Amino acid sequence: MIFSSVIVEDLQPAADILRKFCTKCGLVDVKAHFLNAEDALVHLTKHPADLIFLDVEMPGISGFEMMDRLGVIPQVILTTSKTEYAYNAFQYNVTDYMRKPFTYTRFLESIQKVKARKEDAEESAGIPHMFIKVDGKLIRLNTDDILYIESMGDYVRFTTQERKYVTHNTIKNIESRMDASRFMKVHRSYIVNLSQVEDLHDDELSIRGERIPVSKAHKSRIRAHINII
Amino acid sequence: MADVVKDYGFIFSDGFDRLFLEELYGGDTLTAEEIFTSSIPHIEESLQLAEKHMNAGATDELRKLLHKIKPIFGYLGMLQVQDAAQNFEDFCAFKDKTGDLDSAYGSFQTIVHHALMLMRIEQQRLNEHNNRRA
Repeated sequence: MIFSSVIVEDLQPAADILRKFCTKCGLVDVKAHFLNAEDALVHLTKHPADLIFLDVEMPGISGFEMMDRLGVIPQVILTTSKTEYAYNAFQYNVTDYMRKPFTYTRFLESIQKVKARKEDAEESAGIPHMFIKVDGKLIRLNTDDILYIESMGDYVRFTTQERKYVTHNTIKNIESRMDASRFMKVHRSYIVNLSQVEDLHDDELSIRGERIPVSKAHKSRIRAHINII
Repeated sequence: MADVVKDYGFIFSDGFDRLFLEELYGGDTLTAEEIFTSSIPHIEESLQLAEKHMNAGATDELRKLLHKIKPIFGYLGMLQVQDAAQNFEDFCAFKDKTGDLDSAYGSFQTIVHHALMLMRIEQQRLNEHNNRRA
């Protein structure tokens, strides 16, 4: 599979070498390069890409602000000179985070993560149900029935229309297996089924009368994702 | 080193991190030449801009500029210069005494100007090497 991509980078030599790496690996087709996030946003709104190589600090809005404004966020590889953005990268669930200058070997590792995430998403999207281990038994859950998923330390609780199920797993692992177009992380401890969201107010949302917290970092993303008229 | 000569026919000069450049470019001297050619004017322009920021006392703008150009030194195999840029960037972030800043800037300028001289020579070497192979 060839990933269509966009480079958002204001340092021309960095963009040049990234483009070379993309051509060399044969898996990434660079459609455009932008020196700032605003121009990239205009382009991506009309021409979505599979993958964005995104610098963080640029003139105008930052890479993170750009992601906040994108309606649907494709896979993102952050490229930066700073390590301080690692936590933000985690919050935004980017595919990878590369420190400049990065070698071709490091670049290839990143592309492998892109491939793996794509394969996982395809696998999840095609499966209308999943099995989770509860009290030693494998329980089948239809993904449509899942209202939200909550982290409980080393355990995760699935709340469905009928009942709640607790299984030994991490919210991060669950998130990577869920269809990102239907299930969204709204807080470090919660993933919600977007089709079940009844209302969204400030720092919380409601699903079947239950209030689910929404963190600041995730607020803009969820607003961008739902169809506000 | 003999293996490097045998495989790639080009050895980066002293002053450059050869192992890093080999890993970065994998013997692709055409790409290496392109990156050197596009990077040198970029560094020169950035130095002029740095001068303006210094004269205006705009240390935050100076810090941002250093942060931006720092990786270029890495892409050209000058990791020690990259470290010097990082150190000066940190200095700009935490120091507000003009006298100290002038001294730190002077030291950094000396390092970068010397690095630029080496870069220009290396760019020429790469160009000659690639022309011979063409």
